[in-house]
Amino acid sequence: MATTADVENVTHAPAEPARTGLWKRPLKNTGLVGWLTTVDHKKIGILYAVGALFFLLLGGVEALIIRAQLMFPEQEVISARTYNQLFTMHGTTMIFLAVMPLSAAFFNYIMPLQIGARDVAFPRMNSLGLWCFIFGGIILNLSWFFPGGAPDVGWFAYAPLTDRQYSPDIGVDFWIMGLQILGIASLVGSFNFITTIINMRAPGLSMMRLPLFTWMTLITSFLVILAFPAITIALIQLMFDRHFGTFFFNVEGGGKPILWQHLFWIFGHPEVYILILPAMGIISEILPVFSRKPLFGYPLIVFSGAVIGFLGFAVWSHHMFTTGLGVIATTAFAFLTMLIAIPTGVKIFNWIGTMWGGRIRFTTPMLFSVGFIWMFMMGGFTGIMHSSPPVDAQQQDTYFVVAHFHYVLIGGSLFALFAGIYFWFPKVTGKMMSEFVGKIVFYVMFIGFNLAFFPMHILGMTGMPRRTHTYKSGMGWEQSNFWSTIGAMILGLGVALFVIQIIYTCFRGRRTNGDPWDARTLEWVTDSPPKEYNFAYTPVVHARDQLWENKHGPDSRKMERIAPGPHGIHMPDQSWWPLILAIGLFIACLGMVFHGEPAWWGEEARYGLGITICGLLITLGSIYGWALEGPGGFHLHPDPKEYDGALPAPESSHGHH
Amino acid sequence: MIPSPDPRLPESGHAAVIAEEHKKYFTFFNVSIALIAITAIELVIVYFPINKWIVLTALGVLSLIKFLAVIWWFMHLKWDRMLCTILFMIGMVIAGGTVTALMFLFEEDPAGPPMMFMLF
Amino acid sequence: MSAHSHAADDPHAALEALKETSTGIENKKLAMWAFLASDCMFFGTLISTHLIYRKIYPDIVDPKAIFDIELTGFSSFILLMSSFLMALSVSAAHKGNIKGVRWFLGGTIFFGLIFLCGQVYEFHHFVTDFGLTLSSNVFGSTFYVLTGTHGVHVALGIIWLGSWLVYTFTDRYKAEHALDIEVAGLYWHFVDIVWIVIFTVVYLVEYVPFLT
Repeated sequence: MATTADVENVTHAPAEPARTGLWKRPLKNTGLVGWLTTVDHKKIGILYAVGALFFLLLGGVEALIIRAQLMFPEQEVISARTYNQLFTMHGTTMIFLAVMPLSAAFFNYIMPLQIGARDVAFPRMNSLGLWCFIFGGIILNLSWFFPGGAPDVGWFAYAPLTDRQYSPDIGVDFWIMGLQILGIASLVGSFNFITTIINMRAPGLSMMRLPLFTWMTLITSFLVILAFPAITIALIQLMFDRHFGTFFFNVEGGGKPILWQHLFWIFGHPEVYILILPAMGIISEILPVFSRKPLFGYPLIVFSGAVIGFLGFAVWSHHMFTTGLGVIATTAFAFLTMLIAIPTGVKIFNWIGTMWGGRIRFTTPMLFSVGFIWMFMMGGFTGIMHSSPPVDAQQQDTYFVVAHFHYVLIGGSLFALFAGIYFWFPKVTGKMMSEFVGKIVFYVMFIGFNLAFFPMHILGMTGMPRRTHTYKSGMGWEQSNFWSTIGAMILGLGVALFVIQIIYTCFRGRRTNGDPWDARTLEWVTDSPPKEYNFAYTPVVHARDQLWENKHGPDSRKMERIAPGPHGIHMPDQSWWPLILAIGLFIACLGMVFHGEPAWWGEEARYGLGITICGLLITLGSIYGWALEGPGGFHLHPDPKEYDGALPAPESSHGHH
Repeated sequence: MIPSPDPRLPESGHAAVIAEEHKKYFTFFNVSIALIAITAIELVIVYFPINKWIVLTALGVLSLIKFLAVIWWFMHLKWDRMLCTILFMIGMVIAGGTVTALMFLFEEDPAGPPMMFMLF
Repeated sequence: MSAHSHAADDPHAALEALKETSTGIENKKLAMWAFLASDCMFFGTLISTHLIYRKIYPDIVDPKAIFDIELTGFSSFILLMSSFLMALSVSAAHKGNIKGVRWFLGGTIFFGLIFLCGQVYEFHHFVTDFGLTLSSNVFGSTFYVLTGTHGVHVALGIIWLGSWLVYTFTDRYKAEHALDIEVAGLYWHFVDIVWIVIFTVVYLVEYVPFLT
């Protein structure tokens, strides 16, 4: 890969800055400035993970308060309004601020290593995605500190409840702008990943040799870029309804609230796959390693992933069966929903086939992966039940649905993401997490999770509605709710133990070599943790499980290495602009939230639009600063010992990756 | 360095590019004339007092031709790798499918709009 | 892809070097096409909102009485012409013909500005003469937000192209920036094809006589 900077032959050392826009480029890659201005995909990945884990704990605490309220009938631990705010924020936080960014952390850290690239295609864009995620999370949670408090309309914010008339407080405005900026984060990240995976693969790494996780990153990124526009527009329309008097979803002027449901689920259903496909990718990496077998049916898993992604756009109305879509529409969407179970089932059989006859090692990542298969299957079965409209009509808005999506999102996504953390932690830090503690974490979480959510199936079957602040005693729901709360607490204990283990391991963990699991893919070829430039040489790939072939394969399938040219390795320069641009967007969004609010210095004063314009001017200025600064770059010269015995670089090379 | 058609640089690659771009000029010109002609036709046929479905179909086809002409020639898809076309078509197909499905999911409201504004 | 060892010597070689990727497509161009695929969904959502409400309330307003098809038709010609000039700008940039780039880009921006002025006039006319505002009825809401979003796209395109026009007058402009102009051009053409669709489904179909 050659960037503009390569062509310009920028060969300054890190000590001499390139010509920049307004100020000198930050060159120190350590300390606070190093983290704030980083363009390194590995550091960005770590920041994503830290942010996501923080919000995971926050969302978890919200969940525990909800469960405490429901532990016994007719309680008043929190008010009904606070309860509504908690389940809204719990859902929004877990989906947009915990699971998605945790997946993004893996995309960032692991994917470029798996394709043998030095970084992503647009390092500064990557940094922008990170800061938009952080600021989106801040905007969303700032709502707690303002009069009226957090949004209380549910994570899918159905119209007309979100209308100014029914939600006069600014909680909903925080929700709109928070999601808007989080959408920008996901979109820029995804354009970057698509370009990186398609364009920056190591020589010889054809698409059908890509590791499964990279494939799922690609498909997820496509889902993001095609699904998020729908919610972006729907949010803009809602914003106009609330601030500028339009009637998109406002019945008074002829708006149809059902349209919000359609637009939301056109985004919302692919979003479900955005949450689960990365998890499937992680599982597909871990199972072969600990079964010591290649992935069973690789092309079929790739194809199934693509089919799931495509069909994911054609099933959104199954969230709306009870709204009365008409017989034809209901039938069509039911049929397509049932159809999507096929590629999902194919994947499960492939994972089982991978383990079949393998020499299985039940390490912590493997336990979480096997747990994933079983728990995800449970969630899948209840999902197929919902695809039948008459059954769905019974289960709509009951705890059965709550049980279903927690089985796919905790038992599915979160278990797989935890498996990924245990699996790749030694890659990221060079330190092993204790297997003993890890297994305790798994069993505590597994027991807690099932205890918390299995009874919800029964609660839903016996008619307990979801999003209910409390319930009467004597409905037969006491036992299940009590045990569910106990289970939630055990699950919380497991997560707390996990966080303590991570912090402990960062400081006191046992050092490990580069390949502690006897792994199979390219990311384990290089050091753990990888150096700034990932690979000191250009890997030339000859097989799908390249590291496995390096260790056990015939010579013809072993990896070749090409030494860097005389210029060394080209690295991008750090930059302040992504952070400043994100701050500009943050200010613009805050202005929009406060649009129409009376100012503190006088009832008549309005300041919201002014702030928005200031924010947009900062954003525009940063875009110019960003463009004029250019990608920059410097050349690093790794220790020749690192590429000892590598093939010499071709004459013309500008620095292939 | 400001590049200009500098006679000191008769590099073979560059000369080939110039020759090719020169050919493109005429293609672009023809395409733009066709686009204007089609737009003019569209403006006229909407007034034809014939079956509305014929007019609507004609409008759809003519717009599609304009659309494809712009992406194929102006946006260089003809001269670029197939992957660009595929990438864009993924978006077009999913967006087109979604719009079509949405149109079928809504019916005329027999009650009419809740408030009618006098516009003039 | 053969890479030339001294990129600065030959403007063409500098551009070729950008194609040294796994697919032979430049990173920026690939990302732009991915963005345009995504933008299809943006406008798809907006256009369907407008059409859905036209279908639900066919008689809420008579757009024929409001629209000025001569003006809109003229705007469409203008935008198509700007697209033509944009294609020529890209071609000139690839030739290394900097004067051509300046003239054609200037023309593109000029026509873009005319289009925007037309839209501003149209909005002003609708508001003052017909009282159609965002909050008149649902037709006003969907119409202004759809065409307004397109107008914002045009405005952003003008800023983008204008920045490149200024940039060609500085000594920082290099041959390989032809790619950046091409990418900006892709965006501009996309704005044009969105207008082709809007012109047909928002304006023209309203004029079709509903005889059977």
